[in-house]
Amino acid sequence: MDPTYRQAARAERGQRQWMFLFFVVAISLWLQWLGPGALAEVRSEDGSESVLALQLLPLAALVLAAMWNHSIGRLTLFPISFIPGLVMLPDAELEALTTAGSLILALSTLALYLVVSAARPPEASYGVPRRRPAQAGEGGDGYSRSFRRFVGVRMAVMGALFAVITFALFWDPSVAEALAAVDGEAGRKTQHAFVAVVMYFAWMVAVYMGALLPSLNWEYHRRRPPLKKESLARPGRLRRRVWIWLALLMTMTTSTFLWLVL
Amino acid sequence: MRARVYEILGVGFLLGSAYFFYRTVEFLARSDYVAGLMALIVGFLVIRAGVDISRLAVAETREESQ
Repeated sequence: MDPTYRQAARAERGQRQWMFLFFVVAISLWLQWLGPGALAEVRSEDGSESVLALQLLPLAALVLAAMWNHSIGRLTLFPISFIPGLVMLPDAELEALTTAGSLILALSTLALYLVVSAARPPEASYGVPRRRPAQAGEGGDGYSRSFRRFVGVRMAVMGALFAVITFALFWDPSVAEALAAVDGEAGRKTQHAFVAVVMYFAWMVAVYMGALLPSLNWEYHRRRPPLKKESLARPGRLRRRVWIWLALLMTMTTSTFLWLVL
Repeated sequence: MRARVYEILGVGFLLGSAYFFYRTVEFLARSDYVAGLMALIVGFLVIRAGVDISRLAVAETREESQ
């Protein structure tokens, strides 16, 4: 068999496997975050169809995201489509979602979705040979393997840090004892929520400082992105991006406003 | 070889910061906010040191391979 054809057939198989995994992870995410809310809405006698539509919105966004051959679009479109449904989630389902176990599972699935979504294999091309990965002196810096290890190790370390903080917050006996000493049930809950917010915020800062920024610095160095307007291939694209971010900002602001008013 | 040592040290520092974050949770749960803030700052400083040691490791790897 022609090696190019064999390579293309392998790429096509990889695409199918990726698509399957992508749908499994994404649907699992929807089932965890909005599935119970949608089910409650269907069962409820005074359920609203528009709320149900908002909760089903991510499934429509999922189909678009799967077809969209643009990594940033795929990464953001599906998670962002959850926001209106989450805003409209009934109190009981929201409370069930914010217990420690459900929250960890939901966040882990979201992280898995981001990883799977970003790892889409290249399209199969019959007849046209695939481009070789960048070698030293060919546009890349020739350290792609050590870059992958660098990012992988840092992701593992930050995962471990998240596990330590979560253990300390929810399962550590000495912390539970210290919290038990706070006066009153409401006071205890407030103290616990305060410590959790501070610590998860600190974790995000740690991820930014210890993993994200060093990895991005290396990635920018490798890509050498053109930062002058005249050197951009399509300057109109940047303008479009700015409009997209503004539209998302408006959607978020409107959702928050509706949440506060309704 | 030196690059490997730097890399292990850097990751060790990043992992070591977990201890200070853990202590921060303990201090905050006891409402000792000053101690919690200090432990938090130490945790961030340890991460910062780990990042700079890792940077040395990357630079050393490049020098070794040239």
